Amino acid sequence: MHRKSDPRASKQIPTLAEKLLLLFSPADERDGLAGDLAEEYLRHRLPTDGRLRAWRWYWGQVLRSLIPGLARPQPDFSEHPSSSSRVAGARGGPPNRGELLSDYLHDIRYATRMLIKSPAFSVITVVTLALAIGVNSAIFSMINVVFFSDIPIRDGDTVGFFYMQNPERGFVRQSMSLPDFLDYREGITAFEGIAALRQETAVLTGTDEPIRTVVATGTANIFDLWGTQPALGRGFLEGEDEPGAQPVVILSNGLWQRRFAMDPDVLGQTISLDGRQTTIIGVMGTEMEFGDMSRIDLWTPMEIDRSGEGRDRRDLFVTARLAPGMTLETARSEAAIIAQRLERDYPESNGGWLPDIQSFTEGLADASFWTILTLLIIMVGFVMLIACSNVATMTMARSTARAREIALRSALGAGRFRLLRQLITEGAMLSIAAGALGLAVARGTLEGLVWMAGDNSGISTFFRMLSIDRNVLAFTLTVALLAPLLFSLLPALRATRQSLTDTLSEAGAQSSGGRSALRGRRFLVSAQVALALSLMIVAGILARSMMEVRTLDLGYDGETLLTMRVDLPETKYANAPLQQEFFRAVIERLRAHPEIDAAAWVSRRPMATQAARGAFQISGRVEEDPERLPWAGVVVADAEYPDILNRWILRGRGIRTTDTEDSLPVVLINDETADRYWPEEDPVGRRIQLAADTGSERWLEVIGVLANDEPTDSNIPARPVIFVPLQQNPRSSMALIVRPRGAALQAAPLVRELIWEVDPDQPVADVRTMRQVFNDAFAGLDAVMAMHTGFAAFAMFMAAAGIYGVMSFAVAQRTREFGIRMALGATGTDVRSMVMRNSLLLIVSGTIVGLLAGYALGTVLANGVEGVAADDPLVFVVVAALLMGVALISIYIPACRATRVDPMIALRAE
Amino acid sequence: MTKSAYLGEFELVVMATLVRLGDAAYGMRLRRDIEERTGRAVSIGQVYATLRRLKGKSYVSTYMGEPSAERGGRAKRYFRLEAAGSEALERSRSMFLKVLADLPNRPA
Repeated sequence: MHRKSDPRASKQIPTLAEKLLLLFSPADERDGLAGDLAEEYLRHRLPTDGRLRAWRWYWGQVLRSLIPGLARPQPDFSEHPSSSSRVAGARGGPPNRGELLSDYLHDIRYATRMLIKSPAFSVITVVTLALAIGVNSAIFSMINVVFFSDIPIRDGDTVGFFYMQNPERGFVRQSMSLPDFLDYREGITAFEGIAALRQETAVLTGTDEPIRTVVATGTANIFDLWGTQPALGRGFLEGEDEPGAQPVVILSNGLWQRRFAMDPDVLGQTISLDGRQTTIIGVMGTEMEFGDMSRIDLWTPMEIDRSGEGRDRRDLFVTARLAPGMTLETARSEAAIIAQRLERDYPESNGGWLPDIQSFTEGLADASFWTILTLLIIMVGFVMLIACSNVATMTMARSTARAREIALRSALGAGRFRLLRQLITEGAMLSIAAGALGLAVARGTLEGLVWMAGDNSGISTFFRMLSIDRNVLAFTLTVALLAPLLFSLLPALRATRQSLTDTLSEAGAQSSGGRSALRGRRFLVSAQVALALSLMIVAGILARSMMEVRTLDLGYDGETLLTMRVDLPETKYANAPLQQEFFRAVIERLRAHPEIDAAAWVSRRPMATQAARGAFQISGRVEEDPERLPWAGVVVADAEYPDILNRWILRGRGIRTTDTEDSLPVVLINDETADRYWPEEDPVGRRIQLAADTGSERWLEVIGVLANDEPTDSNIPARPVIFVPLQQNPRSSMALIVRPRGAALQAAPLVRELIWEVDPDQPVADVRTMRQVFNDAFAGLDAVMAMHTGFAAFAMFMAAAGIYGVMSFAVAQRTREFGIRMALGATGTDVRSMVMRNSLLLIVSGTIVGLLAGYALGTVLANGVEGVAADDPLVFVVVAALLMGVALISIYIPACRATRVDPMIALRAE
Repeated sequence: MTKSAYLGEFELVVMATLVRLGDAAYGMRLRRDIEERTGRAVSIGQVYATLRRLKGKSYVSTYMGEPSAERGGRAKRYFRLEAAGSEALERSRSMFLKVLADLPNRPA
């Protein structure tokens, strides 16, 4: 830390410390003191100790000079050097470090005794703060992931995510096609680099049983652009993404551990990917295992095929890095010009498609994530407010109760500073306990979140990245240290300023806390009701929505259906007949087996993922503008599919085994498609042409209308879907749905065996029941709901405790008044209803505000997140009733206590 | 004799150092000298607080020196022993000598 080389920096006297010194030292001593310190600092400390130690020395001098200087009266420490610190608060500042320490030890001992003497106060304060700090840190950890996390992309502020959008057709955050990518790469000068990544699957063979791997194939510059490199070996070299380059692969850390036992000698070995011999050149570090990236098993260079790919195959995830001095705005305007040109040159594939360059933070998460996050932050803020107001109430009540003790000690000669220090020590001890406990709560909350999120939703990928990091730790500790300190300091200041005679006299002790303090506490009751209620309503809305999702009648018994994905490697099943043969052979074996009741192939299971959207023409309707073409999710299915899911054929017929390669191409549409595009007529018998078949003579005849996947009377909006027969539309990637006679999951090994009878190298993946597929689609929402419910319960508990505290205190303060009233003939019921009436008004007004706030938050939630509706009045009624009930109990108990006042005792206290 | 006639331990240390430094007695020199001689960490504030008290008893007086750049443009505040201080120091010394005179080294 020696920085003698920089004379200007080192000649600085610590400004703040000097200011403090000047502020707090007597006028006639100021110059001498500051001058002495400056001289010694500059002449002796800096040259020998270096900057940091000299700086620390200066601050030490200032602080140790100021602390005794603040004390009043000036002690003559020399007279009773040992006894002065023993009498609590009777003496002023300490003479030296040893004495100082023993004073603090004494403070701590005394504070511990005081806190143990009122265990209810101590425990409740610590637990309240710890819970508030804990959940707060957990949520901030989440935000932290988005803003400061160790996402393995260097300098996020110069990185943009390059999506495509088509506002007219409602497509946002879409991927990019390879030819478009090449055009943008060529044309945008604001970027220093632009890289693309595409996700594929490949079958890895040659080691153990064959597995289906998720492969990220990127342009050669992807790692350089991200500023990251494999932990072992090397990244891609320039030119390795050109056609004809040697096939190379980088293992993910996870796959390296699972399949290669972390063998460092894998570099240079070859593995077989879809039958192609590929050399291992590197192993990724664990930092790549974040979010969606953790699903990736292998990284390969993309083969940039300049001629082959269509502009409507949009599957590239594009990242770009800005050149120095350039902004995203420049890039956006450059991209807009290129997009215009592409729209003009390729209207059929690029019409309506606009670039959407998002900043790093925008690009990381979608809108619903931000909605949820915003709500969480609001919730945490509310919970924190309730917690803090509770602690404030408790500390205030306690300091009022202690006013006499403090006055007494001050009468016995304790200086103000000494008393303050004592009270602050108590606050600090609460802080430390609450901070430590709060950290444990934060950890627990995060682990709970990760556990709840499971691993199958968009949100869960974020949860998996969560951990408490240093920023959050610092934040927690700051909050933990400041909150109770502040709360103990304010009443302490007031207490030490109180007039002795007032406080020591009986009358003074009774009348503490004037009108304004009372009004403040009454406001707290209202506010706590409102805050807690709005949180409970949001939780109620979520719980209600999730309950609906969970109990939805899917139209089939999802528990009895087993499902798994089968992806045929394209190298082995290069053409349609081979693929068809495989699917046919598997289904024949399954149907012939006595344990299997039914089986079907489908390319997309309901609710599992979004089907690829396809636009189509309707015969007889001329649509010039390609943007206004009807569209639907395109699903490949076999004849058994509607049957196995109990899906009604509403009109026409289903797919039949006679719909083959050689017969008329047909299509089955769902109810939503029929409603949307044939609102007035019967679609059966009409013909459509998929955009992919444009220009050919291939038209599909609509043979029937199938009921929607989405359960009716749910909040999940139905999407248009069309089903094309597997035999007429070969696919390499399909999902199997099987109804075994026994328990669904237990049949999985049998089904796998039957598939391996057809092809022993064929992997299966994603083995679940259909109910799980459906439920997992909402797993993220589930986690959010659990979190909100937890918060709401916590908020309700805290609000109840807060109301109870405020009311008990108010009742205790009015003991004499109640005594007089009862002496004058008021009955217990009169007194009780008087207290209740007063508080009821507060609770009702809080409830009204809470209902409005809850409705507002709920609407935000419902608009931002699919599957949530905020329009069930039952939620509002039930939740408001629950909170009012709890609040009434919290005021009823203190109110009853008011009636138990013995008039004689109350009056005698006068 | 009133109790203020005798000096406290730290007062004695400060006064003795003051005498030793003579005309060069100002805060920083006093502080460093005391620290070196006693081996105890002493803050400038403590030294000033004690001097303030001694001044209150009229044992010491102060006068300001010239400002210097080395001190951030601030003047030195010198301290000088007054006659009363000199007497008090002498009283304390003779008392200490008397009290300690026939004590063996390292009393059990």
